[in-house]
Amino acid sequence: MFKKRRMNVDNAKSQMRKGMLEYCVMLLLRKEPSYASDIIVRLKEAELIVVEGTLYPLLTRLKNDGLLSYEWRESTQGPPRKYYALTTEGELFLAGLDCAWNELATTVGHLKAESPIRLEVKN
Amino acid sequence: MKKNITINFFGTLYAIDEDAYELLNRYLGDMKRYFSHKDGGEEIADDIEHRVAELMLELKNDGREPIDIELVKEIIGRIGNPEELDEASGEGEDGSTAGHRGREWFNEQVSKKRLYCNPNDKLLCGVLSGISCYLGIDPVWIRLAVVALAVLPIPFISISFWTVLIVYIVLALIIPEAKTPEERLRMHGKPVTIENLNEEIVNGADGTERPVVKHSGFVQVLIVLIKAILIFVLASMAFGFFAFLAVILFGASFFGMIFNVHNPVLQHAMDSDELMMFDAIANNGFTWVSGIALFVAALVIVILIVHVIMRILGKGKSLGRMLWIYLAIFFVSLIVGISSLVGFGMEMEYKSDQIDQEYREQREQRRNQEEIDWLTARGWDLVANDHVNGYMKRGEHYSGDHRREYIDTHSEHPNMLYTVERTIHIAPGIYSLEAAVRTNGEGPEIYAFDSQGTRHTSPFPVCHNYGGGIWEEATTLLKADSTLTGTMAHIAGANEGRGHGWSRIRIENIHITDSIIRYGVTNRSTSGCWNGTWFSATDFKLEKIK
Repeated sequence: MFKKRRMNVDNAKSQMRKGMLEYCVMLLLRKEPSYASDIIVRLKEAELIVVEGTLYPLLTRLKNDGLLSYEWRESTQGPPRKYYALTTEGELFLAGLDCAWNELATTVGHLKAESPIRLEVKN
Repeated sequence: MKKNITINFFGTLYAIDEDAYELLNRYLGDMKRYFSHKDGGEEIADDIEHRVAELMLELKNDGREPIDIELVKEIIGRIGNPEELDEASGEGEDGSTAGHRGREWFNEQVSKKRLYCNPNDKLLCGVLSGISCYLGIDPVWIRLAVVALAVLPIPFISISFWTVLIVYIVLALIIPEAKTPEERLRMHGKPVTIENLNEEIVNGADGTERPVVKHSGFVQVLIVLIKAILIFVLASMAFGFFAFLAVILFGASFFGMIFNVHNPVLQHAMDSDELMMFDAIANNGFTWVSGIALFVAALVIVILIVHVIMRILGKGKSLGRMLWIYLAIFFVSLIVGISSLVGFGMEMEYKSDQIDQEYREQREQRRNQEEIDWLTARGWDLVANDHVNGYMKRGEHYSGDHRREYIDTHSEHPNMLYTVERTIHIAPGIYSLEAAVRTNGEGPEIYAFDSQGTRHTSPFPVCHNYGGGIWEEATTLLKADSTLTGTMAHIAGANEGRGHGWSRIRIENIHITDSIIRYGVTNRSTSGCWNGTWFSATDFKLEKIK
């Protein structure tokens, strides 16, 4: 029973991270245009991704949706790199996500204040 | 000790272990295949490849070359397997069907058990070993079963050696050999995952070319022997077909000729119309079509046999779908070849019939003319010749002399009418007309007109082809005097002693006053009766009585 519940917690965490990922990537790009490996380093620091490859399908999808654009920049070492940046549309979208996040954070904050955390685990 | 190679990856050279390279290559290939079914998938795979290059460059800069398989596994672990990267799988139920479908397709592709020839445990081509892998049985049982099927006369299911051999050859040509680690995993029905591949690559790295399963010395000798026998059999088959090819190639222009020389129907026609016939054959489209088609069919067989020999020697590749193309070509050209041969035969038969017919008609005409000339030369006028075959003959003269000629005709036609007559200038007086005649039906008669125009006749006795008055007379004489020789003895012996049906008939008292007499022979008396099919007449003798 314990194991199963543990798995459910992991799963929920991973779901939350995945939901957050898109927002976080766009937040990173709002600061400055970056290339994938930079983003990976930042996301890993924040423990938002487990495997690096997850980022690439996401970037490609956002780019295909017109929220991101990229340009090739020569690198001092290795092959040229793709630098991603937000498009105007992406900025607007991100603003929308900001609002949604704030609402969500407020709601969650309220809920947490109403019901204190209990750390009992039944066997 | 590990084989180490250098690769060029996005413009940078890396020293890498061979097994590590294989794993890396497989990983990138899987990535491409996995994302190929998605929007922008090519770009994703490309980005990931770039990331791999970056991580490799880091390793190089850290001086961790040559890159070994552990480092590659580390890179793969960092970036993740294709399925782990698929964001669709984590995004809930909506809009993820495409992703799921892609994933299912991928899993199906990589983990389905497949039939391969097993290169690691083979006696000839690894066909049976591959089948046993597929069925999950020890190869020994399959091998024993197949040998038993081929050799033992098991009741009801006794299959000949040749059937088994041909089926084996076809299978060896169709089923590909499991060459890559991925294919070997599929052959054993193991899921194609990075871990399994890694294991397979590590285990198989030193044995990919050589059989892994070693057989005892006796079995090895046996295998070499069987291989030698098979190659000998196949090579002689190939040589046979090659000879056939050569015959078709060089004999194509003579083929028609050979075909005809052995045709008994044509043989007698050939001497008169040889040129025409050869011309017809040489310019016959059927000959060329069948020649070319059979050439192609034989060529396909030779190619296939060479492939099998290569396969047994362990050098050939499987033909896969190409085999069906080869077989299709073979059967199509065989059908075309045979049907045009048949067409050729039919056309030739028709032509030979035609030529035969023409020849017969020509000969008939020529013979008829010769015979009419014969009549004319002897003073006979042809009065009537309806539905007759021939005008004169030799061979059955009552004297037994086969060279002696006589007036003769025959015809099955009921309306046959043959009349010849002579008009002769003679001294006036009373005459008698005598002739030797025979027939097989009532009707024929000799006739003579006197000066008043009265028609005197004498009918043929019907004796058919036997006996006859002349023969009876000769036989009687011979009985009276057995020492008799000469004409009469010949007559008695004619037609194996049974005569030819000849009799002598006479017309008496023909009064001629104006020095002209007209007489003749016909198969139809004035009353018009005729129920035979032939008659002969000769020895017309006009005698002056007074």
